[in-house]
Amino acid sequence: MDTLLRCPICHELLDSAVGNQVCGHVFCSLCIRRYLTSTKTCPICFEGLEDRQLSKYGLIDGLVASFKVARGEIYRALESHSKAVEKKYIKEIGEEICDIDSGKVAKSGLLLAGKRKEINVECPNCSEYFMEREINSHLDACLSYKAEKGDSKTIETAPSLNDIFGKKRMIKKMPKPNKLVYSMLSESKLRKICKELGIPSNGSKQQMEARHSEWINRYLANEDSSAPKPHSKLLNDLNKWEHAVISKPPQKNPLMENANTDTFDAKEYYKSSLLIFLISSIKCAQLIYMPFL
Amino acid sequence: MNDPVPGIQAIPHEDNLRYFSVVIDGPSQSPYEGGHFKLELYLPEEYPMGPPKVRFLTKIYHPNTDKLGRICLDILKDRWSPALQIRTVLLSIQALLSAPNPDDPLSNDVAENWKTNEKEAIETAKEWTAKYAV
Repeated sequence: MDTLLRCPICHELLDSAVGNQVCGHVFCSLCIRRYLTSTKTCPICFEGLEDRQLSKYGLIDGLVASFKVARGEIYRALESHSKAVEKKYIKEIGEEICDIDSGKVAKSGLLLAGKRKEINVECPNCSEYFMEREINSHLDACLSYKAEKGDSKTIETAPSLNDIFGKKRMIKKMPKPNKLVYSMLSESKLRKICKELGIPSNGSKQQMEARHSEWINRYLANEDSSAPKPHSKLLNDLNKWEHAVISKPPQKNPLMENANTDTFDAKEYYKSSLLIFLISSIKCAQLIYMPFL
Repeated sequence: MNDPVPGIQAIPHEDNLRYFSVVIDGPSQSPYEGGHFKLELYLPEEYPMGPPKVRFLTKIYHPNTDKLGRICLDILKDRWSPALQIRTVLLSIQALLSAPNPDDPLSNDVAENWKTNEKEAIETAKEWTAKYAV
């Protein structure tokens, strides 16, 4: 079950699962959209694939959600079981050591307790990770937030104009982005489009291109989700993503750079020429110092 | 990696988790049998949307590698797919050792030798394995 519900690209549990009618392979919406930005084939069978051929599989999202809950329950059950076993173990060890040295009992007990570290658990509702002891208080808050949202949905169907306008004001909806051919756009035009979409419009053209295409992927992936995030949260995520990408210095593998023929040969060449230079300088030194010796 | 592949070992570096030290054992019934070939594998920023970079560190006589250890393999270039993993890449390299492809060479002289005098080429590959990879 665990392997079946994982995305072949990121190997996480599927998030907003989408598949296509051509070959039926299923991915996270954001993963496959990011890939299709550069290559128009299915990553598994190499069939031609366009992002408009993707359709969302709500059933799989439901399966993943219930699997997450079940997994948490299994984990808790296992943990309480292992705790019981551990207690028994401590008791047994304690009894054994008690005969030899009573001081050690506390020590061994402490050691075992220390091994049982605080474990982060995933919230089944929002998928964020929390310390085990904080999860209950978080769940209360998280679920009540959902309930509030649920309430506002029911209000939406009510015919009262006030409520509809109230909701509209509450959730700021951002315009749907369209795909662009960046090479055909000037920097100022792209900046204007970014501004109109409500996403940051600073930085170079290259940065804006990357940001814009990531925004399209995130926006559409959010639409595929069974529990779409509000756009303000989505924008926040985009900023976080950009920050992570920019703040990371471009990692280069120094060893892999040797694979370049030029530098490799040059190094060898310099090494040998350095050797010749050293030998000749030693010879020179010998010649110079010889009379004094 | 949930279950390790026999004959393949990949260990990430402590200071750079994107960089792996790899050892592939020469497949049986190939000229590389008995050899332990060291490779380096690097996951670039684009991974998994782009392929990992792999090269041999141990000298190897093979038509699809060059003298710097770079490997000519379709999945490391244009046939890369994000559904491939480090595991599958290393398995493909192991398979490439079992089945050299002199029609798509990286070292022309090795490939030429492989095509014209396969026996001698295999002998040389065996010699190099014994000399550098054991």
